[in-house]
Amino acid sequence: MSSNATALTRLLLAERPSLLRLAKRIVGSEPAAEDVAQSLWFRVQKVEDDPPILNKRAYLFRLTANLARDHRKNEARRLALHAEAHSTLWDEDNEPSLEDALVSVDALRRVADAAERLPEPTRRIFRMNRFEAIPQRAIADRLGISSTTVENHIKRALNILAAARDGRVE
Amino acid sequence: MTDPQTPMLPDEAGAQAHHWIARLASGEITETEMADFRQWRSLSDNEQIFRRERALWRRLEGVEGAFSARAMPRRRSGRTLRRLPSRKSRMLAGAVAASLIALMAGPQLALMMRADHRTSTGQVRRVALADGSEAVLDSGSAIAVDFKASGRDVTLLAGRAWFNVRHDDARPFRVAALGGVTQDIGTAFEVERVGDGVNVGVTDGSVKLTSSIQGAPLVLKAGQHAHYDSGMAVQRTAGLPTDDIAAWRTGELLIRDMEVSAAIRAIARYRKAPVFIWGTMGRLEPVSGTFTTDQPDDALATLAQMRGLEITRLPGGVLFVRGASAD
Repeated sequence: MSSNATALTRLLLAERPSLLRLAKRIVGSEPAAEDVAQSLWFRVQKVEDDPPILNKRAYLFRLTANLARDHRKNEARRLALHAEAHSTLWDEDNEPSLEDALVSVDALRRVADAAERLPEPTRRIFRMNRFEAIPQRAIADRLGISSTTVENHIKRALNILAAARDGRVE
Repeated sequence: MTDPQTPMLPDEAGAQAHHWIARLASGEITETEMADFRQWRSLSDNEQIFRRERALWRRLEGVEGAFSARAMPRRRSGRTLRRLPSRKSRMLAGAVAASLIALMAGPQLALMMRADHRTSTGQVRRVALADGSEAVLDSGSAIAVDFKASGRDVTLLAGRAWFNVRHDDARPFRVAALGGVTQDIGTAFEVERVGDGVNVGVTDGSVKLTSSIQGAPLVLKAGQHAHYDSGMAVQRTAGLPTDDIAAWRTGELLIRDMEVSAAIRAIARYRKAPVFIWGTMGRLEPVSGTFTTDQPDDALATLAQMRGLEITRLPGGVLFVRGASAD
């Protein structure tokens, strides 16, 4: 470890409460500020001795502010992305009469029958995601499986339900 | 013999659409994926296919019961048994068919099948809950109640309800609506579903409010209000003072500085037959007034007089409201 990195790490530990306060002022919440502190720590470990850092305290606070601003920007992007995905799936062109025409009442009855016969844990996983709005990662954590497995169960359920809608045997 | 012109098999194209639906619903789609998705969607028939599969995804709302944990208790005693539908599951299939008949009569009815307590149009009802708390349901509202030792969960399925909670630290009282959760901290409060959004107002004590994407809860105190749209963050809003929140409980309908079309919808909630609004009312001044919930037609007539609206009554009580022909 460079001597800059050692000194900055020591300073970081001593100044942690005020660095957290600064980060929290920018990102708005305690857990997000903790995230910033975490990435600050990693960043500091990689600091070289050249160029020299004259005012280490000022450097640390400036770095915290920059990381916090990046964090906030990423968070805003993530929210916008989430909103776009959500509205594509749920709100866009939401004309109940059109949707009814795409899935007839007879077809929906076949779909409901197929839903009752879905194998477990496909059925449970699909229910958690579709009806309880639990993100796939959270389902994976809860069931102790990977997110990819969760996604495969959801796709499989959709395939079976679509086959039932179309009167195909899957 | 295969035809070289054979288009992609429908299930293959459907599977691609299913992949994208699963990703959109994952809660963790990346920007790169979103760009890929837009690109995929812009190609040939993909838009059509996506819409069709998305309609399936959305329409499942009406058959949620078929996915419920209780719908079909599985007996794993024998392999052959699973193939034969038990008497119970046949009865349940019947129940699903019945819910689909209800669906034909109107999606509202299918929703109501899930409800533990509900009110019909024009009805306001007080419900005593098992834990000593009370709920008052406004016209056309529905709640599902799930009380366990670990917590008391209520889902607002439709409309709005006011809750007066018997506080219990060990068993939090939570009201879920459109992915957001309002939790009591010693409280009386109102939760209302409006379209794709939810309004919360506190009449007494305070609540903690969390939307589906929010980590830190927002605390609301008596007289404070907040709003969230499904899948979006919670925001504080201005609203009625404490005494006026959920005034509908006593049959009063308070309209304060409300946009005309919103006021019409607020009144229409208490009519059995629908009210259709013709054209935009955006240019009209907002309205205020105090009406009674059992006389919605009088309220509409008053409103029409205030803003020069024209009301046409059709057989069956259906009303058309339109602004005075300015253009």
